[in-house]
Amino acid sequence: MKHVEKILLSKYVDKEIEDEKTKNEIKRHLNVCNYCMDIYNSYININSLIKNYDIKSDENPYLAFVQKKVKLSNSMKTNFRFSLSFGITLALIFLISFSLTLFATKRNVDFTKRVSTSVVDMSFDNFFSEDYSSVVSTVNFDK
Amino acid sequence: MEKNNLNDEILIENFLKGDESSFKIIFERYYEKVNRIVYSYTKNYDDAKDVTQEIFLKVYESLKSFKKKSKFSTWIYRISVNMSISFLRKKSKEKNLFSIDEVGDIEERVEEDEPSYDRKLAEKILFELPENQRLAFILSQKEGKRYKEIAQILNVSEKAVESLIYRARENIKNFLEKNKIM
Ligand SMILES: [Zn+2]
Repeated sequence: MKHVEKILLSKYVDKEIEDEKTKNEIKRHLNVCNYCMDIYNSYININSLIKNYDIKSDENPYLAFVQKKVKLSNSMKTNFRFSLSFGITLALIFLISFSLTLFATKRNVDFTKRVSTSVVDMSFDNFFSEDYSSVVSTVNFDK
Repeated sequence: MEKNNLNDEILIENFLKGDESSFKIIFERYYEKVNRIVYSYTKNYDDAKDVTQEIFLKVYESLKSFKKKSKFSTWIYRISVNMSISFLRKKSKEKNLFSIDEVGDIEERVEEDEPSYDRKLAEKILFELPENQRLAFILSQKEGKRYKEIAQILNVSEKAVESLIYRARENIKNFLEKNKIM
């Protein structure tokens, strides 16, 4: 007599065999074969043994969950506040240094402008006072 | 209709509309199931408790993104499996970093009432099994999941689930015979 494959028996115990013909064949075989019936029974016994697997849970896990959630949201708020104040401080530092740089540059430009203006003025003065007048006078003389 | 009798999907819809009490029902419906799955990985009561809380925080935050492609139970079990595995990885890294010998050992649970002989035996037997066999078997026998759903949770084929459960049964049978328990 050909026995039922053990993996098929395991599926049969779990009611995972969909094919009606196979199911009926196994059922008929179990009625006449002690060897397969023993295996089937041992699988059933294992199932009932494993059903006892459990772990004791806490008194009120939901309360613990809510507390954890509140704690997390508070720390997120604190983090947000910290990031916000850090960002504002950074922005202020940037603004102040930017304004200072701008001010300094402007002053520098004014100074350079003043210096260069005076240099230009001086050269114009020189130009008009000496060279140009000499040129003019030369031209005049030539004419 | 009594709120407790509503199915997961309706409770989720209500929660997303702002009803916090619907989440409480989901929490209470799944806490022990998730805790059992996590414990089957961590083998440590306190770690299991912490990881389970983290899982529910994750579920609370990501329910908006739950696409309903699978059943909610499949989705939450998948998160449980993934988070348990990453917890173990993280713990194992820390163990390597600090060389603490006791990390990962099965910790004796401190319980006021001693667990029954059957409960202790069931735990002993399950922890003798390789991880995937143990989880597939718990999902099937304790949580009543079909092979198809277990396959989705463990991200393996249905054939693989068939084989995992069969091998789990055979290993348990051998263990019981060797120890003359059954
Ligand atoms: Zn037979």
